[in-house]
Amino acid sequence: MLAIALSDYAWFYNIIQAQTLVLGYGITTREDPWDRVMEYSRSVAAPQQFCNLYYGKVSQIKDLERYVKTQWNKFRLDEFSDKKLEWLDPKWKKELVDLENLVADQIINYPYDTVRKVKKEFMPFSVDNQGRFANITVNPDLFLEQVKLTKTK
Amino acid sequence: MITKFITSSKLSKGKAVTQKTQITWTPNRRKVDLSQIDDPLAKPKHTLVNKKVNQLTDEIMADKKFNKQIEFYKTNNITFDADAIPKFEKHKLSELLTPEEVQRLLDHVHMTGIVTKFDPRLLSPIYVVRLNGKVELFVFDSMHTLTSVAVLIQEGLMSRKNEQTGEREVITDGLDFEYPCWVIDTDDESFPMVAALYRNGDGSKPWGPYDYHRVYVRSYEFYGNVGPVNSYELAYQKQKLMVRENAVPLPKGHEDLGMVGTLGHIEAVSEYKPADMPELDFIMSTNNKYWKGTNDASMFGFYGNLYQGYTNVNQPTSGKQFDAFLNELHAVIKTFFTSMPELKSATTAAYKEWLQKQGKSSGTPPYNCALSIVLKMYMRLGGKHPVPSDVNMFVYSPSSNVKIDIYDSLPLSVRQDVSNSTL
Repeated sequence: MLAIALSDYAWFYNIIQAQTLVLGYGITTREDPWDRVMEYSRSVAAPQQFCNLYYGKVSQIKDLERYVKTQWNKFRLDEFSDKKLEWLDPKWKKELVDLENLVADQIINYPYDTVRKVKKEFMPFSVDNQGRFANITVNPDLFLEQVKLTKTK
Repeated sequence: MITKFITSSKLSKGKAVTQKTQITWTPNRRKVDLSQIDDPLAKPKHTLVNKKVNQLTDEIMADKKFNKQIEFYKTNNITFDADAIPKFEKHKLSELLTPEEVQRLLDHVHMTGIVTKFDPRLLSPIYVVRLNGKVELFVFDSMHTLTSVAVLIQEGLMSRKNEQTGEREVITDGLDFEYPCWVIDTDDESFPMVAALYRNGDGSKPWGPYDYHRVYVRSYEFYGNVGPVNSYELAYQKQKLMVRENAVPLPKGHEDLGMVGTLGHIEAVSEYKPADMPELDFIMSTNNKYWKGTNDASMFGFYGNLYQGYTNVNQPTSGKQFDAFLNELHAVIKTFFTSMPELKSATTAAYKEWLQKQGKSSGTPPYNCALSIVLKMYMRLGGKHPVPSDVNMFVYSPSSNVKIDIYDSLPLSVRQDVSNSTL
């Protein structure tokens, strides 16, 4: 893939909250997803990490997040807010592999042609990884791979 | 969808020619599984349950927020006086007073509607407050019911069975006619206003568009009731069309709403008259063909205006050439905006900026605005199919030589991509 213009790209992430093991997701349009993982960490005074990162054009990343939100609306936590959160209520027993497959199915079949997944060797992404993807626009193939469906339980 | 990347310039007959990126439509291969949706209208009649009260209480007590309120009452020994429940009594119409400080103005149009469709089986009790046990009864709800009954009695248009003779006879009681009232006894003079607010606001849950649709569809499907001007039958036809096109309508707040294959905008569908059904069919089938069960509200404005743009000038909306045009149009949307919701967001932002250039405050984009923008892009990308006149709209011309086109309010990156691409 050719070099890509950074400002048009965004991240979709999966997170498992370190203290509660609650599964969540979200997007950030910031260059370094480290800023976002730090926000999660500061608010609970404990380090958090992203277990998956997807990178693609802003409009496709936003559409992907909208899809996950609406498709899994009933599974979203509504405990601590009047609105449903981007955390999944544990009572539904949704696991990371379920979320990965939901996301992969949409990316592959919609398809979102610009969205790729960060390779396993660069994950998880934690508070210690500031600047890890500084060169992603220059050499995206180093960090990113095509999304694949994984086997379910 | 961008299918090839060519960034280098090539020499052709001595001229530098920059090849453009060709965009094509990539079909959506997503499978839509409507069986995952809890569709109230998909249930056959024999499976519908008449819930017992304990089933209702069990359901609501499982709600955490509701349960917390009940627990609060119990914890603080807060109980309620069952003797204060209003009582059913029959009173002469002449005893009922309608206080100006409580009631709205008598709505003459609403009154005509009530009398036109009058059916005594649909009458409700008159809601009244009795202050300090006095004779006067203050009406706080059902003023229009009271008025319509009084008129029909006075005009000799109501009859009843004489229990002694068994014959039906015209009621001649006038305003001495006794009517069922729901009576609240209180010594609080402000209570009629409180009660009026509660009956018409805080304590009521008005029916939404889906509730009407549900009743219309079931009335026709279960009992063959076509409804006034065949409206129930029409609702049933729309239901079948929506389900066929992966757009199962659901009420607001339904936990499956938003899932692929659901539609939350039954109010938009309700507006289509029998003569508009071909347009609705075009909207639903085109949206499903390209977006496979993703049903954004913007589809009605986009595809509706597209359909009208051709049919109004007697041009076809089907056939090989038109299908090829639709593929190109959707390649534009998918390549530059990804989806209809993202197109809607981009349209809103562009419209806002376009208005600001005219010194106007922002507003909601007209229904054909997104279509106009996409058509402008289509033409710039070298589209050859005839397009509706919407393409020429959203151009502000403060003087003869100045034209401010909404296209120029799209993000620069989008416009650059358009100029570097071709169909």
